[in-house]
Amino acid sequence: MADPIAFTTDVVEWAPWIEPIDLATATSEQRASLTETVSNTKITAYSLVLAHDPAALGERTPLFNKIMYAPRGLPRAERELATLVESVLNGCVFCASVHARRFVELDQTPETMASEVVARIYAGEDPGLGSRRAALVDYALALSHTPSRATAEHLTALREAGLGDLEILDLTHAVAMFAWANRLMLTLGEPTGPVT
Amino acid sequence: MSGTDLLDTLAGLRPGSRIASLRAERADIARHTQGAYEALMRPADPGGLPLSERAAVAAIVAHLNEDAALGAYYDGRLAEHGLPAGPRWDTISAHVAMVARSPRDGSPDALARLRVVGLSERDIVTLSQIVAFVSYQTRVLSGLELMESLDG
Repeated sequence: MADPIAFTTDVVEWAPWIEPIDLATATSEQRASLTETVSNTKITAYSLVLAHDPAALGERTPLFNKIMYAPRGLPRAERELATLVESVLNGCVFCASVHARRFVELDQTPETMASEVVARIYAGEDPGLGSRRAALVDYALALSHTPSRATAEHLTALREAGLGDLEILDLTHAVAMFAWANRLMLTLGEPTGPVT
Repeated sequence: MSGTDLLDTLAGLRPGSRIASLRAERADIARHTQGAYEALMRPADPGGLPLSERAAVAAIVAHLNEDAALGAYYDGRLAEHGLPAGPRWDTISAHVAMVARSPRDGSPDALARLRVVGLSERDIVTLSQIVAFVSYQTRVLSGLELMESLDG
């Protein structure tokens, strides 16, 4: 294997270790499973790999999109922040690059501040967040471990920091989804690039 | 589809309870979570990954996550289908533990070992989806249980 790529906010590609399906010879079920894509992007090598099991992909893609984009509840920037810290914990350079960029793009604070937060997370430093986001990151990281280290104290801290129940459910879903996404990305292929 | 929701059942959510109603606000998420479960654990065509191996994989992941309710559930599925054994299963179960616990250790060599014991590209994708899905499932269940515990 090539040297591992460091965490980056640049665009990274992903190269599969599994032969992707060939769209030209794909079954109708495989084609149908590719009609919706994650984050409404083009069909990638990743989705062509997952299309080997179209029934699973056909459920996973809408599930991913609902978890990351459903209206109300946890602000989208905070869904991205949770999945970013989890991706860094798990070592998913590809996932981190995508969700670091989305976090910076969606965050309401001036961009340099969000970029600094990302830089500190990548450096393994205290990101210097306010109480709400600090509680969010603590819970996200605890829930990311195998087995989970999340406790009732984490939930109490989230509530005290002002998160409502729907926000806590959304946060839980986002972290759970990236336990899923990180594992596929890390064990079925590898990041390549960054592309400049 | 069985009509019942596995995570509602395992979390002991009573219909109409506060957490059940909260979960209903994200009905699409609950529906596709159940759908992914059906697709992976009750497939119309299991291909080269039989139901016994699927149940055993899910049980390993649930237990590595120390999820008693989910572990007991998949143990029950495993008892229905029979415990896999032999060199093929040893290779699969070692891979499953790696993906569940330390996915950063993934490598082309790890997938090559699965091919040697007879897994096709499709089987490898399905195997990975099951490990990753149960890793998702246990975390949703943990969150629901923690929210329930605060309501007690």
